Amino acid sequence: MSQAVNIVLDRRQSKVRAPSLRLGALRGVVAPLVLLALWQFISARGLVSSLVLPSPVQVLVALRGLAESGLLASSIAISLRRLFLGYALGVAIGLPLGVLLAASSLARKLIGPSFYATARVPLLAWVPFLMVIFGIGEVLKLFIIAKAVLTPVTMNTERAIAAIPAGWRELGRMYRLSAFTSARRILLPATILPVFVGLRFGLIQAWSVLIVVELLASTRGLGFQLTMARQLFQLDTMMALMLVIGVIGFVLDRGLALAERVLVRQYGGGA
Amino acid sequence: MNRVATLSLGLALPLAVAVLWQAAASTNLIDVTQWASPVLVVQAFGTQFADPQFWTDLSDSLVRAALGTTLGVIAGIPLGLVLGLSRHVRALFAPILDAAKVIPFFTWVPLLSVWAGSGETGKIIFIALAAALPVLFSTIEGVFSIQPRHRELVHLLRLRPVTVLRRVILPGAAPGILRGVHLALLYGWLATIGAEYFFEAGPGIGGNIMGARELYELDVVVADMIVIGLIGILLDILAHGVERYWLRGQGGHSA
Amino acid sequence: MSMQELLKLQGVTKGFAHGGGQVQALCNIDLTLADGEFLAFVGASGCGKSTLLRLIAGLETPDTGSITLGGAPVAGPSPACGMIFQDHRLLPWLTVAQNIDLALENSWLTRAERNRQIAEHLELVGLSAFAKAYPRQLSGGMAQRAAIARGLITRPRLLLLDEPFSALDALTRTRLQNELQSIWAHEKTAMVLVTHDVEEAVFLADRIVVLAPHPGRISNIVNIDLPRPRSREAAEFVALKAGLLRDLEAYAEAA
Repeated sequence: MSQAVNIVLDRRQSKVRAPSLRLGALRGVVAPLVLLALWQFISARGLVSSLVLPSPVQVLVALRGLAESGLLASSIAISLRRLFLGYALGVAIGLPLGVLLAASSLARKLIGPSFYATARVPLLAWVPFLMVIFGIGEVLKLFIIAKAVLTPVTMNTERAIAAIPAGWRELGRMYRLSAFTSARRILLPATILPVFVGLRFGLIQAWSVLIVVELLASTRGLGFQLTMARQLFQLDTMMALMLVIGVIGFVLDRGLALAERVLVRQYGGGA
Repeated sequence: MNRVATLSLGLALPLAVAVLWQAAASTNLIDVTQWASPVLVVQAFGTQFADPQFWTDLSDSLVRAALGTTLGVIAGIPLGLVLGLSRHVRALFAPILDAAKVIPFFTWVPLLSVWAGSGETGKIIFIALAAALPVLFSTIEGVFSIQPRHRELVHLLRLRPVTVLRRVILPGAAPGILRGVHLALLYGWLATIGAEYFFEAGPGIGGNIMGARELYELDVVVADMIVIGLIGILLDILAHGVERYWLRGQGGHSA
Repeated sequence: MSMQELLKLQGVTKGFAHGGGQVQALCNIDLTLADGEFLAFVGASGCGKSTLLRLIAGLETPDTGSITLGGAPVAGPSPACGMIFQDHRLLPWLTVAQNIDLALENSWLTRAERNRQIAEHLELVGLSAFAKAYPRQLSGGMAQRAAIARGLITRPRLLLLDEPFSALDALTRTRLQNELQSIWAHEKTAMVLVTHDVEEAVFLADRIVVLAPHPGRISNIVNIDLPRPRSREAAEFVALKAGLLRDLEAYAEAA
């Protein structure tokens, strides 16, 4: 019976990410492979109509078709361009805004409530509003992505700065450091990690919102292609596009995660 | 600074915006039919609240949200417990879960609309999925938060698995589970609105706001936006209250 | 107090993998304990006294040798053997009474009988007024008392205590030692206490087993023939304590 209990409350509770450098990684690869094989089997045998569930092979063929026609590359380019532009705008506004809110109590009282109130309105609810104001062109995408990024970046930045222990801020004054040196030596290292978390979260949000908007109100881009494929009932193309969207999102996230790890090594063990 | 001053400062910005907006509208600097005005927004509120159809639509949305979220929670908690407790199951499904975390959720909409149709079923399944994911991940975290030394106690007292589940695992994971349910409520509401945008038009406040958009009725859009936001806030408060009530008296929970 | 043999260890060894090699935690332990006897293990850190206790409890298995409790070999935790840890290990989401009740999960008693037993043991440890309190509301000493009640409620023949009072302040420690003494006299349960506090051992035990480290082995067994209740200031007490401390120092230096 203690065996059952051991299974029930396992001591080595590893994280959801299977450790990539140990034997557990093999197990992690097994399930998707098995599922993939199962999937191929089911559709190849015609157990489920290929209209409903195309086989993995068909999806890959569709993917290749998209790539060869150039549609894939151009759609990715369009979507990514929108993402980065919007992201840049959101960060450009969000970082200073966060600093401002943390630094000035007047700003906090004046702008803070409005900011947080609008932050409480979910992004999705903003979509129709922004669609009316900006139409369905590029500006819409730009602003909505910027809004998606703005909220987490601002909030995280403000919180990061507010969380700097007062003692550290005093250090700057004690040693009569210039504002610039203070910022570089104390402020930046102390806040870079939580700010980065906000930046990372903002990117994921931005990518999600971009897809939503492209699904809803677009004539180009990955989301639009997905909608088109849906209307034409081309499930294999749909799944190929979903794969691409997922992979891009994954790569973006992992890229930032790596950067975060580098930063942790440099600045970790902070406040 | 005293409270009145703080309050007025906080209101200063929105009031200024509203005043400017109204001024521009009243002096025809902007086209009211296109840009609306605060007065029109308030009127839109009034018209909507007086219209029984609005309330039907709103309750349709809420019912949909409740159904989908409940389904998602019911599915998510047991799955989360299993994944949290079993290293093997977790290792098997880890990559899939990781992928699920980074694929934008709305990417699933087109596929789901093919598989489950564009009607109510599709919407409910979508909402359920949106609710299940946070519950799943939070429950797993909740299980992780159970201290290992409690495991030894279980071994020592030779408790049966049912007892372990009832007395140790569920209460121990409760904060995580409740946090997951909290998120599920919020994401479920979001998914409801999203579903109403994407799936076939049906009654619901999401449909309303989209309809108003198509007619360029900015006043209605703003009014509905505020309603959606308010409901989100209410759900948040509700969830907070439930969390606090459930975990009362336990204080430093991971003791 | 019957002189019936309750616990017997023969040729027990236990090693652990550590770093690259094997660490010999315990080496050739031979020991017997009589029914109702109070035994104490003292020794510097690294002498394996906690490991020894865990072997007796059945939480670990010896590499070689045998451990029998009441004539039967120890194959795992059993209700005949209760254990108290240094950290009270009360589940934070259960009340004191519920925590004690947990130990009775596998018993065949009726609910009424269980409640009666719980009340009785709460009285024994002086916590009757705190039955419905949560662990975080208790002081360290009170929480340990609750743990003792939980340890005794299954009416074990042997109670193991692994440095139960070392996390408490000096005053509470002395008080709890006195209380443990009375509980032992009242319940007549055999007890094995692991402690680094020599005074505590001399105060409570019938026999003290001195363990030397690296590898853990019995270096000496001292009989404490003083009548109870014992006075910590009495000349004989002080002498015994001094002698033991000298022994321990010798081993610490030799290590």
